[in-house]
Amino acid sequence: MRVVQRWAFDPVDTAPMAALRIACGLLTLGWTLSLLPDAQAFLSDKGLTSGPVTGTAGWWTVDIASPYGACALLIAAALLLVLGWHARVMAWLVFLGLLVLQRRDVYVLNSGDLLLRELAFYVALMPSGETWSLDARRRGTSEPRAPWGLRLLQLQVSCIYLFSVVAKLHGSTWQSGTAVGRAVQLEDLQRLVIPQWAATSVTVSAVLTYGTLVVEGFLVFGLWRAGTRWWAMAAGAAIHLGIEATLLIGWFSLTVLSCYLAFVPADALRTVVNRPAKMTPSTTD
Amino acid sequence: MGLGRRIESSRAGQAVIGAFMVLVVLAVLGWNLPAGRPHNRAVRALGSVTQGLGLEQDWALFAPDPRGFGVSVHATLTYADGHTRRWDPPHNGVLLAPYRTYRWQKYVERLRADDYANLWDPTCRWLIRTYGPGVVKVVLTRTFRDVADPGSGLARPRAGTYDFSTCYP
Repeated sequence: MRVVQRWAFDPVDTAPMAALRIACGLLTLGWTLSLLPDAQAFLSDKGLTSGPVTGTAGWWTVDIASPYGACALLIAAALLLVLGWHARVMAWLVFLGLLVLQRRDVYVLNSGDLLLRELAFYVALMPSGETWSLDARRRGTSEPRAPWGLRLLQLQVSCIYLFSVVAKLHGSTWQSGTAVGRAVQLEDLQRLVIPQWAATSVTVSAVLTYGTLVVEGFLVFGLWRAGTRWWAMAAGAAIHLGIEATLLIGWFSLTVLSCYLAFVPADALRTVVNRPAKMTPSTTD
Repeated sequence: MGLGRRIESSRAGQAVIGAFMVLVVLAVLGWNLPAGRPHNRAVRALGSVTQGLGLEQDWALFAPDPRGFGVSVHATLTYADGHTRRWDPPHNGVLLAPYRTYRWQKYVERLRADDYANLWDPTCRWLIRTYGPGVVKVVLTRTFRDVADPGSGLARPRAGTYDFSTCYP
């Protein structure tokens, strides 16, 4: 019990939480900007659905009087979240904004949309404004904080891969090694077109299909252990960037890769962030 | 010390936060369980928590199996003077456009299915409003194209095109 308590509540460096806050804000900015051309079609009463989808969409399903106004509010909140101005409040606004916009037309959502919303939820639970923020600059201090919100996000990431592998193992094409070959041929999902010879090659498809299962299985636990963390991240990045290049999956890959920040040690993040500052010559030199 | 820090460091605060963490984890686990009795029980017990917190999720990407066919939908709009116009959902570009067009792909994936027949008429009405005035008829057409299973030797997958909904102003 004491171990769990320390794991959830012993104060830690908040750099990973700050990095997640910035990533979440940037992703939300991109997500909302990409929605603008279709805001009327997807969100307005004169759009594809004349009102909120009731019964299936769940709580927080409301009419959106002004789609562009709602998007503008979300863009402003996301920008302020990136800057870390009243970070906790902005994180909740971003989460609620994503929730309300996504619930308005559930027919256009994919897993990436849901993951971005969940990332915003977990960031809202974190003291993400303690570091690299206007809040921290105003206070003049940056103190270690309890990481329980970060821990929930880490568990969520493991759940993604666990349940993804479990669902895939039920499929005959994942067992026979043909799933990836099939998926990359779906014309409506193609981004960069894989040559037909490669998509229909038994060997190529089997390597990619079984490789995906192995990597996803590895990611369930590999991200947690210091000795395997970087290998797991590299393998996960390879898979997600491959999917990103070939398939039309929206914000999924970028969002899940951003979630990996939850596992990056604070020291490593600070080294990366401080490196450009060290490289800049001092004016007193 | 701020309020957040005081709560996180107090025994009572940690107990409340710990209970909340357990609730969130159970809600996520229950929602994700494979379809069956345990999943149904979990959703009955915790579904409102999951939905209230916006935590419903689905990680069965291309699972249990990827679709065996590609789908597309287009509409043919007929105007009063007899001329026609074809509408295709946006599906262009490889760099930035995909971050927008995936939403149309998702919509089409549902629109083409009989299970989502409730979307057909609203889509027709939207097309009439958007591309009118003068539209007298809208026909929605869906195309299915089989994919070739690796190793099957199928060179040109079969395709079929069907009109599935017609509407008038």
